[in-house]
Amino acid sequence: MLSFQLLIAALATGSVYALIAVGLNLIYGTMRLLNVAHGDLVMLGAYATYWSFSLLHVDPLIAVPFVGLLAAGIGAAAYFFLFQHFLRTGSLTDRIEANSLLVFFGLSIAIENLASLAFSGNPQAYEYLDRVIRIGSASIVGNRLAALIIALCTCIGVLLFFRLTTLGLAVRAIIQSRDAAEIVGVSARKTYLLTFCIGFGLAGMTGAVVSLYSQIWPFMGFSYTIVGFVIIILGGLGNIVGSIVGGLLLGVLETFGVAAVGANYRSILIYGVFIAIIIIRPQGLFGTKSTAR
Amino acid sequence: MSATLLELRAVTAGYGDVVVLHEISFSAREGSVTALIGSNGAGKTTTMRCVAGLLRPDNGTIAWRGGVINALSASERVELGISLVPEGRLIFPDFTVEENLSIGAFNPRAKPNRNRRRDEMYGLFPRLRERRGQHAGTMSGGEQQMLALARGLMAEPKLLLLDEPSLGLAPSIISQLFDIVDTVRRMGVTIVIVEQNVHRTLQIADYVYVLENGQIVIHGDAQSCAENPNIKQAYLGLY
Repeated sequence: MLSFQLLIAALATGSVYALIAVGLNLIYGTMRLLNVAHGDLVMLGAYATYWSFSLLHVDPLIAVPFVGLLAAGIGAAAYFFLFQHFLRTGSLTDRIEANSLLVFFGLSIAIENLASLAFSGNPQAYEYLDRVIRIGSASIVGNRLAALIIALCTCIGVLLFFRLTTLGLAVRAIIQSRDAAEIVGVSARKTYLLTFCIGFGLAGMTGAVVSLYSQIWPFMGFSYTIVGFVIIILGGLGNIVGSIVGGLLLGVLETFGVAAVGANYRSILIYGVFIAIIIIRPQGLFGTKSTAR
Repeated sequence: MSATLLELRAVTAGYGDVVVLHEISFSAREGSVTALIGSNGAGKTTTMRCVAGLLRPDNGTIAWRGGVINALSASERVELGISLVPEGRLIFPDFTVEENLSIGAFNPRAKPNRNRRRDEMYGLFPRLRERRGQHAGTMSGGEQQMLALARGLMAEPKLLLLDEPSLGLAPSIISQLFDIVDTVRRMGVTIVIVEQNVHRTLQIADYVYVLENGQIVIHGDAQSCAENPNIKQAYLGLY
């Protein structure tokens, strides 16, 4: 049961989950915006990688950072065109949490349907690094291993950015208190823009990573958004480290749970974790009252 | 006479439909200590939030060295040299003491001297050096107030806004605090202070404004205010 094979599989799932959750939680933590369209950015990132591979023969591993940059650009556009005016007056900012849900939901529907018009609703996939690699007693398909490594390294990179850089310190300051951060000279607007870019960029990168091993289709995003929500509830709202640990944890729970009771129970497991956390520990496993408002 | 650093002209401000400040005018000269005193709800904190940029006035102008700064955000005003030590402290509870101080020097003017400045703060507040690795949220009220003050100074302010720095502190710590405020003013920093502790405040202030119901009712140099019978009766408990 506790085999090395399952652990590798759990890590492969969990690292991608962590990557999804970090981007989602970053935007929530700094701006109290729940990005329902997060999974749709994952979908767009997946298509971008798919098209660049099948039309331009760009190696998907090389495409990953560029897809991330592209998605970051979309994030900047979303900030300027959809959200900036919310922050102009206090009364709108107060209602931003509820308003953002509607805006992002609309964005999500628009992206999904435009994508299905443009790319057709048929699932697509490409073959890349599909040889099985043996690690000790376990074996893993090459593209899953590549996804695992990229996702894990990106998570660690994000973590180091927040721990070690002054800019990362500034984002963490905004997460704790917008007013306090403003009076020490951290511009909330610039930080919000940065957060949008990083959050959307991470979603795009996740898409590129997912496309390595998974089928892609225009409506794939929603399930990723849901997984992201479950993890940020699990790890604590606004808690970046919590998201990474929570993502890995959900990967372990899902993989071992499915191995124990069967794949039919996958959704029940994920929603079960969600409901259990909300009942038992609503501030998240690693949340404190100050981060989970 | 030194130049006017900060000037508020007929500033009206409030929250939503509630008007707190009614056409307030006051100024602070470079190198001076200006005190705002008044009872609870008089609008002292609202005035400070307007100057710091956390609240936009509905009317009137806020001028810095003669130039209107109404449109600048709080973070942009920090770059000019305005630093607020807010009521309720607003420190970062999840940061260590050291991280709180580091982020205090985030503005481009202060950033190059960050480490030297931080050592100076540890010299001024030895307690903070002892606690440098501790999460700020777990410290006592007095220590948090010292941290908020040190963080405000990390920005290398030209104007320091102190909002109720002695609120909730033990008398021995209050006396320490006023000593430090005096040290800071001798470093050449202009100070605007809001205080309930009127007696101590009058001792360190050069000029005093008395706020009541969002209006300035008395103003004058500290000496004459200390002798003003109305102030004596209302704020110093003397008859």
